[in-house]
Amino acid sequence: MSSKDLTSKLSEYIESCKKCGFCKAVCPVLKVSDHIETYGPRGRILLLQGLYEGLLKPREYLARRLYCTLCGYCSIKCISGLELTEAYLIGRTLLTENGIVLDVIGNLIKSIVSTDNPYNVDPSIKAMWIDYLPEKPPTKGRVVYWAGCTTSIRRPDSALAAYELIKSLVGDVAVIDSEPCCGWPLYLAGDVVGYRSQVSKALRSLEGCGAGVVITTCPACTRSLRDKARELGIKSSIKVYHIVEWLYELMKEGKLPKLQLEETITYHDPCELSRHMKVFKEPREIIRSIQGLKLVEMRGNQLESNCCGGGGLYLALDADKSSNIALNRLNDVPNGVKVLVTACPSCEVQLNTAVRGKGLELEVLDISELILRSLNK
Amino acid sequence: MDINEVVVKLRELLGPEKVLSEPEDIYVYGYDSSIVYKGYPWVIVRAYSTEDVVKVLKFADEHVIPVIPRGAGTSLTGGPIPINGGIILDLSGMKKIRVDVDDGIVEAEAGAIVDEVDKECRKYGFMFPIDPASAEVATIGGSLANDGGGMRGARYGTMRHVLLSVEVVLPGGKVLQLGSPVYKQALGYELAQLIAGSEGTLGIITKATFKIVPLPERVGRILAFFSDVEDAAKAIFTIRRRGLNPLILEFMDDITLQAVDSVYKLGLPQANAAVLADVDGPPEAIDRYINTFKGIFKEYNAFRIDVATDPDEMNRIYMARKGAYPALSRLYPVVIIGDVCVPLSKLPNIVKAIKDISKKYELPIAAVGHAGDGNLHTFTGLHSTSGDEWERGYKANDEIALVALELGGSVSAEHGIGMQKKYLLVKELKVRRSEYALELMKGIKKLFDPKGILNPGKLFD
Ligand SMILES: Cc1cc2nc3c(=O)[nH]c(=O)nc-3n(C[C@H](O)[C@H](O)[C@H](O)COP(=O)(O)OP(=O)(O)OC[C@H]3O[C@@H](n4cnc5c(N)ncnc54)[C@H](O)[C@@H]3O)c2cc1C
Ligand code: SF4
Ligand code: SF4
Repeated sequence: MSSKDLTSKLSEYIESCKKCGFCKAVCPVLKVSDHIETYGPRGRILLLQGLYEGLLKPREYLARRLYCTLCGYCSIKCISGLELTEAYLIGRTLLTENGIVLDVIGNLIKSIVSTDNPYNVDPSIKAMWIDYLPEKPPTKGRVVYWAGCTTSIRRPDSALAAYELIKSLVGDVAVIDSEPCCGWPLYLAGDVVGYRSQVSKALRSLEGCGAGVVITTCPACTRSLRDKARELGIKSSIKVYHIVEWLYELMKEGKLPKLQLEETITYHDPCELSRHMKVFKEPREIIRSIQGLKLVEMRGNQLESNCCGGGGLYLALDADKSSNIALNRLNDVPNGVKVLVTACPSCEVQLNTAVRGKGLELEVLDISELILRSLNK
Repeated sequence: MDINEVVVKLRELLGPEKVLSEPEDIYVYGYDSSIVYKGYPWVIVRAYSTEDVVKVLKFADEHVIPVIPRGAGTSLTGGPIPINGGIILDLSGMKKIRVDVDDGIVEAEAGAIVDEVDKECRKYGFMFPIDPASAEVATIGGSLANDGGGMRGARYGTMRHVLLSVEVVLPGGKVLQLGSPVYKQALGYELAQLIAGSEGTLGIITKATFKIVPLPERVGRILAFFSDVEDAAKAIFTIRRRGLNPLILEFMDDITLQAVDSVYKLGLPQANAAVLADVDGPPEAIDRYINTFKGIFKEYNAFRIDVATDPDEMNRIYMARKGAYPALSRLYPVVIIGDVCVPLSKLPNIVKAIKDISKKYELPIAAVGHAGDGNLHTFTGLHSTSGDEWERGYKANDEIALVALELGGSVSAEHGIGMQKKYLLVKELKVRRSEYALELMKGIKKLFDPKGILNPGKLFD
C-alpha cells in the first residue's frame, strides 16, 4: 500500500472511533503504565489522529507510544468493531516511511539483515538445537519443520520436542539447513518493504528444499509465511500450518494415536494464535483428547485471554513493562495447577521467565512437548 | 506565570515523573468520550496520593491556574475538557479499594475503576450497587462527580444514593471529609451530597465511602417482545404498580432491536418494543417471580417471551440490550448518545416523540431505556462529525431533551451537564420557575472555590 492508501485507511479508523474508551478496559500495556492515557488503545488512536491532522509531528516520542504488544484484545472490546492493531501498524509504517525508527527497532532490523534473526546471534547458534537430535535430519523433503528464530534460539527444547513429535507421526521430516528469519519482526516494525523481501527469501528457501507442507511451532511465523504473505500477494504453493492446526487436522482424520497423561494443566492462549488467527477451540480439543489429563482454564482465555507481554516487539522496547505484563498473566493461573501449556515460543519465554522470577512451581511447556509426553506414556 | 514556568514548578513540587507536558500528552488529554469537544491543557499532573492533590491545588490557587480533574475521560458531555488550558489533574493512579463487610461499606480512592470496586465487593458476597455501562473503565471519582447511574438504577438510584462520605481537596489545599462512613448521619447540610454531581467544580474527590449490597442469590432474566410500544409501557407501569422490584428493567425500541439483530444475529423477532427484566431472590422463589413477570407481559400482549436462568442463555438475551450501542456503533461511524429522564407514565409519549423527531430530521434514532427509573438513552447514527447531517443530529438530540422537559422530565439523567447541556440546564430551571437555583449554585461554587479555578466553564458559565 502506498503512503496515500495507508493514510486513507487510517482515516477510516479515526472517523469510526467513538472515543468511548471501552478498549482501555483490557489493555495490558495501559495496566502496567498506571493508566496513563497515551499508553492505552484510545490514546494510540488519538495519537494517530493527531498525526493525521498534522497537529502532531512524526518523532520518537510518538513512535514509542505506538509500540504495544499488539495483543489485539482492544479490538475484541472495541465498540465499533475496529481491528485496531492494523491501525497501530499503519502508524508504525508511516513513521518508518518518515524516517522515524527507534534505535532498538533499528538494531533489530539490522540484526535480521546481518544474522537472519532478530536476536543478533550467529546463524550457527540458531541451528544448534539440531545437533541435539538423535540423528541428523534431512535438509530436503516434502514435510518440513520450521522452528523459527525464537523457538530455535530461546526454546530449543520445544524445537526438539516438535521435531520428534512430527517425526513420530509422519516419518520423514526435513529441517532447512540455515533457516532464515520469516520477516515478521520487520512487518511489526513498519518496514513492509523489508518484510516482503525477507518473507520471499524464507519461502524461496522452503521451496528450495522441496517443501510441500511446512509445520511450525511459532504462530508469528505462521502468520508471516502464510497469512500476511498471501494478503500482500506473495505467491507460494507451500501449505503452512501452525503445529496446533496440523495436529487438529490429524485428529479429525483419525490419524492421531491414543494420547494419555495423568496431569492437571492449564492452557495460555497466545494472542497471535487465538485472537489473530482465531485458533482457540483446536488446542482445547486436542488437549481434551488426552486421556487422564484435566484442563483447568485460566481466568481470561480464548478470545479474552490476557497477553504475556512478549508480542509486537514490545519486549525490545520496554523489557520491564513487558515482564510486568507476564507477571500479571501468572495471576490468572488456577490454583493447584503445576503445568502451564501454550503454543508460542515468545509466550513460553515470557511466562517461564516470570515463573522463575516469582519462584513458582510451575512448568511451562509447548503444546508439542505435552503431546510428545502423552504419546510416550 | 507562563506555561513553561508552570511545568517547571510542578515538576519541582511533585517530581518529574508525575508531570506530562509533551505535545502528544497534551493532545490526547484534550479529549473525552464526547467527540465534539476538545481542548489543550498546559500540562497533565498524575496524582498518586491526597498529598499530591493538595500540592497541586495550593499551587494552582496561589497562581490562579485552572485545574480540571479527570478520571478515565469517558464523560459524554465534555466534563474533563480543558476549555482554556490549565492543569489536567489525572486521578487514575489512585486506585486503592477497601471493603469492610462488617460495616457494609466500601472505601475507594478516586481513580479506582468502578468494575474493580464491584469485583472486590464480590469477593465477599456483596456488590457495588451502581453499574454504569462504562463501569469497566470509568473511575469512582468521575462517576461520583457526574452522579452516574446504571441498569440497577430503579432499585439503587445513582452514585449519590449510595454515598456515605467523601474526602475532597479544596482550592488552597484544604482537605475535608464530608459526611460519615455510616448509614445514618444528621449533620446539618449534607455537603457530601453537594459533591455528587458537582462535575469537578467544587473540589477534587480523592476517596469516598459507599454502601454495598448483598449479591443476589439467584437471578432470572425475561425478555418480552411487543408489537405495540404502548403495551410495553403499560407492562412496565404494571410491574411498578404491583409493587414488584426487579433488579433491572430495560426498554428497547424497534430500531435498537433491528440494529442489534443485524449485527449480532440473535434471532430476535420483528417487534416495535421489547422489555428486559432481571428478577432476583432465593432459588426457590425465582420461578414464581419469573411467572409473575411473564403473566404481566402476556396480559399486555407480548407475542414472544424468552426466559433464561443459565449464564450462557442469560448472556445471549442480555445482548438485545447490551448490544445496542455497539451495534449502532458498528453501523454508523458517529453516534450521538442522548440521556433524558421522564416520568414513567410518559414513556410512550417520549418514544413517540423520538420517532417523530427521527422522521423530522431524517436520522435513525434508537431509544433504549432504564425503564425502571424513566431514564431513556438515544443513539443517533450519523456518518460524520461535520456538515448538515451532524447539525441535524445535534438539533434532534436537543429537541428530545426539550420534549422530556415538556413531559415533566429532566434534560439530564446520569451523564451530567458538562459543556454540552449548559443551556439545557438553564432551560430546565426556567421551566421549573427556579432560575434562582442557578444563582444558588454559583454562590455555592464561590464558597468552595472563590477564585473559580476548578473545572471552569462546566455546568454553567
Ligand atoms: C459508551 C458509554 C456508556 C456510558 N454509560 C453510562 C452509564 O450507563 N451510566 C452513567 O452514569 N454514565 C455512563 N457513561 C458516562 C461516563 O462513563 C460516566 O459519567 C463516568 O462515570 C465518568 O467517569 P470517568 O472516570 O470517565 O470520569 P471523567 O470523564 O474523567 O470525568 C467526568 C467528570 O468528573 C470530573 N471528575 C473526574 N474525576 C474527578 C475527581 N476525582 N474529583 C472531582 N471531579 C472529578 C471531571 O472533571 C468531569 O467533569 C457512559 C459513557 C460512555 C462513553
Ligand atoms: S493491542 Fe493489546 S497492548 Fe496494544 S493497545 Fe490493544 S490491548 Fe493494548
Ligand atoms: S473501543 Fe473502539 S471506538 Fe471506543 S475508543 Fe476504543 S477504539 Fe475507539
